[in-house]
Amino acid sequence: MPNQAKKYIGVKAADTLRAAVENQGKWVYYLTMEGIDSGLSTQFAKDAMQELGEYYAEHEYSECNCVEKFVNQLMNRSMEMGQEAIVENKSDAGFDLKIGYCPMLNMWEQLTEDGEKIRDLCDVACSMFKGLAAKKGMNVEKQSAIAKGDDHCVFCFRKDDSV
Amino acid sequence: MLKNIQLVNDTLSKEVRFENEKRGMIYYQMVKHAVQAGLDKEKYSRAAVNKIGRDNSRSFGVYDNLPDFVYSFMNEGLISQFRPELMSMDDCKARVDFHYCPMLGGLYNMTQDAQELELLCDCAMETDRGLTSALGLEFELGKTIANGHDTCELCFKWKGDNNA
Repeated sequence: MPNQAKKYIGVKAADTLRAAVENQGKWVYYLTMEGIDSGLSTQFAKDAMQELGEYYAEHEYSECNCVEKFVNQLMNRSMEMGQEAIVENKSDAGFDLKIGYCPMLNMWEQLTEDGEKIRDLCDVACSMFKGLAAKKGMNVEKQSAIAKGDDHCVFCFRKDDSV
Repeated sequence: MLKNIQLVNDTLSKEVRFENEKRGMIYYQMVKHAVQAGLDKEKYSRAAVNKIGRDNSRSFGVYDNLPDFVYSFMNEGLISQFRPELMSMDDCKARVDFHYCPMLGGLYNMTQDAQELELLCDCAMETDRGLTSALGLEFELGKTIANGHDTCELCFKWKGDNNA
């Protein structure tokens, strides 16, 4: 899989933020797997992450009432440095979030070689974007994912005109 | 009111605290939804988090004395996030107090129910129970911030027959 950090190599802030997100990934892994081992499907974990996204929408993003403000809030140093994320195709209608490196995936690859399990975990973790976007009147679509063998993860955030 | 006050406020420490609080909120939401799906809260939480702690032992070494473990435990990341204080240490026993807990900070964003916080905090400490059991040490949790105290008291004990 092409999940390799390419930027900010040896930069303390990037390394530290990546380690913090890797640790989140470890918690996502064991909390999800414990549920599955106890007979649940991954839906409980997706619901959990979606609700967390909704919480962020109502608190961290409460003032973000346009695409510009939303993007400014989203693109913190953890995103920019830790995940090598950039924003493309930004307009009043939405934007694309392109992620070059995923610390969570790096952790999951240390914990399992099961590609299907990793793709499920990726869907679980990304459910947070779904909750975040929905509460801010947007849809989000995962167009590509490093966990599926793509070079980047690309999330297309678009305003939901039906809202 | 919890006495969970963060005093290390350089930019990077705040950014990492944000991520660690998020980890606490992920934990809260996962437990909440696992329970809604029919699992027992405490059994599920303790089992999952203990495995995290055991896995964390991969990043520790092999120790033939307690102080070496304690100095590894009190690494730079822990210092900036938990403000640990080494209260006492000899060859058999060491006590480390945490003055702040970002996980609890995250949990507190999700609920202010004291009983819930106390249980989830104790289950979260399975990381330390899992870590120490994997390394062949004993662990005791004393007072906690979630219980309304000033610090969380972590006590590590060296096992006499420890050859880990």
